[in-house]
Amino acid sequence: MASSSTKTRQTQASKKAQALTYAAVAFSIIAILISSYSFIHPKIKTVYVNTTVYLNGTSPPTTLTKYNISGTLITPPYSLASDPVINKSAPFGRTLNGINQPLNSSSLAVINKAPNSYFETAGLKYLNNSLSNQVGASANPVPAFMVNGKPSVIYFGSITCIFCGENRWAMALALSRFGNFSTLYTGYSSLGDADLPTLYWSPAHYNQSAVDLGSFYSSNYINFIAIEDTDPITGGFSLQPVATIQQEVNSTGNTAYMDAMAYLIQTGDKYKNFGGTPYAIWGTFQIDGADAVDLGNTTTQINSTYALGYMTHAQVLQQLSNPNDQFAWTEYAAADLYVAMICSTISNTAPVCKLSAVQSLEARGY
Amino acid sequence: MKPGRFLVFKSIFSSPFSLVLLATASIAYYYFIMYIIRISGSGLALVTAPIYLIYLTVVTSGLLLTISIYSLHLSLKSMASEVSEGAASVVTVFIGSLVSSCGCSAPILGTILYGIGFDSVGVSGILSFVGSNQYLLLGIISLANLLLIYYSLGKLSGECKLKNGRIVPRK
Repeated sequence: MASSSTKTRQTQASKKAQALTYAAVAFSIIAILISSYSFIHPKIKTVYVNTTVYLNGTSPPTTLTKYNISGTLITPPYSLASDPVINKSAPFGRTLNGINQPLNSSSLAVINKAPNSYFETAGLKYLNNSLSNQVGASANPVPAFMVNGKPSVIYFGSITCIFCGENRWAMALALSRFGNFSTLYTGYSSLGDADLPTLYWSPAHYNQSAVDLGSFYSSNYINFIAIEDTDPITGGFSLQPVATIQQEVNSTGNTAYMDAMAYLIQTGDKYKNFGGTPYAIWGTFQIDGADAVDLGNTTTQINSTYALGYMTHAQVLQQLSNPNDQFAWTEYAAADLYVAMICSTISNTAPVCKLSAVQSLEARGY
Repeated sequence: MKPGRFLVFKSIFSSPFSLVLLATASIAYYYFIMYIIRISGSGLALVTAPIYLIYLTVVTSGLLLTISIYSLHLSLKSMASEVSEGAASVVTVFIGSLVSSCGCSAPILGTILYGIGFDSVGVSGILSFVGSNQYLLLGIISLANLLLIYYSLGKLSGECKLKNGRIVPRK
C-alpha cells in the first residue's frame, strides 16, 4: 500500500500534469478563435497598419553616429558574364525571361519622367483612405547619413525577396523625383518567393551568393546607396547573414558603403528592429520592411492574390505610365511616403515637395 | 499485463471523441501557424516552408495533445499521475510557426531574439539560418513530437491496463 507521502507526491504530480494539459487545451481554443477570426474578418489588420504611420520621438537620437564623409560611390558593371540576360519564355512562377536586361529608353522614361500629378493623385487617395492595398510604414528618426554634403537613401535588400521585389517599383518612382536613373534592369524575386517582376539597380548575381553594390542613379539632392544580397534566384528566399554581407562590403574598401553598412547595423541595434528585408534609411527616417504590400489589385479585375506575379515587366510599366487601378496607385502612394521623408530631410528644396499630398504627409510626421 | 504502446494508441484513437479532438487540435494548430505566417508576412499567407512539413507538425502536435487530454480524462477517474507532454505540443507548434514564417521578414522571431539579447548581426545570422533550414527544423520539430508521443504512450502503458479493449487506470 502506498505511503501517504507517495500518494501526496502522486497527487501533486497529477495536479501539475492536469494543469499543463488544461493550459494546452486553453491555448488551442484561443488559437483557433483568434486565427479563425483573422481569416473571417476582411479588415483584419496586421503589424503594418494601413494609413497609420508611427514616428518614435521628434528628433534623431544622439547615440547614433553622425556621418559626414566624402568619397565616391560604387558604380556597378553594366553586365555580368556569369549572370547573362535570359531570353527564354517560361510560365509565370518559373519565368526569368529578360532578367538583367537593361530597360530601354521608353521604359526608363516611365520611371524617370513620371508626372508629378500621379504622385499627387495617389497621395490624396492614400490620405483619403481610398486605397485598398496596404500602405504605411513604421519609421524611426535617425541622423542623416551625409556623403559629399548630401543626405542618403541607404537600401539593404535581397533579390530573392518578394517584398523587396514589389518595393523597388515604389523606390524607383520616389528616387526619380530627386534625380535620374541612367539605367535600371529587369529582374525577378526568387522563384520560391512568387517570381515577381521587379527592377534591379544593377545587374544581379542571380546564379550565386554575392552582394551587389551600387546603381546608376545621380541626384543633386541625395545619394542612393544600394546594398543588395544575392542568392540563386531559382531557389526560395535566402539572405546571407549581415556579418557576411558586411565583410563583402568592407572588402570593396569604399568608405561610403562601408560606413553605410555599419550605420544600418547601428540603427538596427538602436531600434532593435532588423527583421529581414527590405531595410532602409530614407534621409532622416529608418524603415524596416516595405512601406506597402502591393501585389495586385484587390478588385475583382485580377483575382489572384499575387496578381503582380502574373504580370510582365511591360504590363507593370504600362500600368505605371497610365495608372487607373489600385496596383498602380498604390505604387505611387508608397513612393509618396518615401518622397515625403526625403522632402522633410532636405527642407523641401525639390519641386516635388510642393505637392499638397507630400506636404500633408510631411505634416503627419515625415 | 500492461498493454503495449500500439494497443494504447489504438485504444485511444478508436474513440470518436479522440478523433474529433485530434481534428480540432490539428485545425487549431494549423490556423495558428498560418496566422503567425500572415502576421510575419504583412498580411500575406506566404508559405515558404514545405506545406507537407507544416501538416506533419500540426498532426503530430495534435496527436500529442489528444493523448494528453485523453490521459487527463483517465486521471480524473483516479489519483494516478498522467501524461502532461501534451503541453509540449503548444511549444513545438509555436516554434514551428516561427520557423515556417521565416521569410523576407520575420518580425516576431526578430523581436524575440532582440528581447533575448541578440544584436542585429546575431539576429540576422539566426534568421538566415532558420530561413535556409526550414526543412530541417520542421523535420526536427515533428520528430520531437513523435518522440514525445512514443514516451507518452509508454507512460500510459505503464499506468493503465486493457479492459474490454479499452485502457483504464491500473489503480
